[in-house]
Amino acid sequence: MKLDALQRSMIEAIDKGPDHVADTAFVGGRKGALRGLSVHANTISHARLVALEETFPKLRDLIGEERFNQLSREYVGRNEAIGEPLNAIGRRLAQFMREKPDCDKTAAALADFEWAWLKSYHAADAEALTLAQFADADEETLLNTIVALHPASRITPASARAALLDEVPGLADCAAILLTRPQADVLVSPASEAMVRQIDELAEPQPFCNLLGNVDEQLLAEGLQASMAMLEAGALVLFRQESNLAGNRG
Amino acid sequence: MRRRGRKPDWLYGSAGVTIPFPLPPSSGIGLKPQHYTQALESPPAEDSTHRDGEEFRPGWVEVHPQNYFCQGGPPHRWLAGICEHYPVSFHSVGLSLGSAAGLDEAELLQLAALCERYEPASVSDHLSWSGTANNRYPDLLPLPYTRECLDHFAAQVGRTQDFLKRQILIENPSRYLAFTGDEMDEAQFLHALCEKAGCGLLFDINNIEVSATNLGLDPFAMVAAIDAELVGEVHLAGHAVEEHEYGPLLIDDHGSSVTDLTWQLFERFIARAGAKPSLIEWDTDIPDYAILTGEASKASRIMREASLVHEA
Repeated sequence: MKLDALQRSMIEAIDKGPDHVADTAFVGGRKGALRGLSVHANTISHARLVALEETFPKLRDLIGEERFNQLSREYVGRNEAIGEPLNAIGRRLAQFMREKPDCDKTAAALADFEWAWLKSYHAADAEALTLAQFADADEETLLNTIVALHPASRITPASARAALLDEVPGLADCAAILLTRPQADVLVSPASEAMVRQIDELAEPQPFCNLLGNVDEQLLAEGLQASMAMLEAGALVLFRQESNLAGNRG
Repeated sequence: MRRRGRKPDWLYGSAGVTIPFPLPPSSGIGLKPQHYTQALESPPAEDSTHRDGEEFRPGWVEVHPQNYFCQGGPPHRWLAGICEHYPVSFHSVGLSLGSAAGLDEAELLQLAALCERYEPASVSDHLSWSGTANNRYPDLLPLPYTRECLDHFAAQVGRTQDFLKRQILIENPSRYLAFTGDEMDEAQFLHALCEKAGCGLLFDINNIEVSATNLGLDPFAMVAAIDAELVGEVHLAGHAVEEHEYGPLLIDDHGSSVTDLTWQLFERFIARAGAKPSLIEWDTDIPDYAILTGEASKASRIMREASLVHEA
């Protein structure tokens, strides 16, 4: 049997079960084939399920081991899961959960959160911009400083907060959840609507003045507060400075 | 990065590629995140020798590069620290070199970027396939020992070496299946692969025990058949045993101590080959660091004793 035909038949047997084993290809006939292929099928299934467990520990706690295992087994049978390497196998789990008619929205949002957490954990390193760097800056310098989103910053829906309230203070009334990684650890913070708007704006680097808004005083105050909160959380990096800031990191 | 300038004494062939910083011929460990701190607290001695009574320090470490296929974050901070103190081996599990559709290009790109970043002492992958880029099977699936497969696999290894600009090592598989269409045995296939592709061998002795038991072969004959000159690294590990009505089935899970038989096979190989970079692999049910280094210490002692016999 040619290599490609042999590999197709092995995949068929692993995916679809013993009825699809091409037993003439293996020493020991059907028995030998079943014995060996079942080891590989178990290893493959186990590796995928463990990867999901490691990616979504909070989701597993929330919905319980039995439901999580059932969900995982349904998910790993889908093309969108088996096309991913193990370290990305959870990429579409939240979407898969939402497509189910009996979707638990909090659980799906928690899956979003945990995937975002993992992306934040693995994101590129960068030095987060801090409030201290503006200590001696005048208003013009601050407003014209161009900032970008830190590569580790992520925003996720607030609907996951019910599962996180015990761990993260301040989430009860948040509009969204902000993930940042200014140092080694991923930080979880509440995000206001103004912060969500600013993060949307930061799809491209922007000067601070563009983030603050200038329609009326209330919006300006909200914008300023949001920018300060983002700086405190380590969500921003310096893209370009118009004048010297403390700790010159241009 | 710590660099070892010695030229590899097993380099051969005409592929025109070299390993610039080979692993030392001492024992190493498969490094897991739970042991990062301890590994950094007790880096290897400069002369890579271990004296009786001293706490054993591995001479080098091995990681799965796929665990570092990310841009940054804590995994890279640890790996950068480890590379400052240890020669590091990248043992890939994802190139799928034997896939009839060709190797996994995305994995190769990421592996190349990681090699560029850390300059590992050694790079290896397996004599296996893992599906295709669109249909991935996280396992090391077996290949038939045919001339067609040999030509195809050698071409994929050649592509990899050309892309990485270095020689790689290929690990013999643990097998649960044998193919009726095989045209040569495993050692003949591996030797021919090295000849055609200019690669070296990563000789996994636990895999010999697993394959021999599962397929009814003689493990001592399998070890004796391997050309030691081609071996750039040795793996030692434990496995699980399932009892069935047809006899024991060994599962290569790397979740326990090295077995007595694998130690015997290692002793037999080292007595013939001399000291080689030899790794304790332990990937599931990770033990305390002291247990891991205890196993590495035993491998080191076996190599030391074999060297004394050689010298005598």
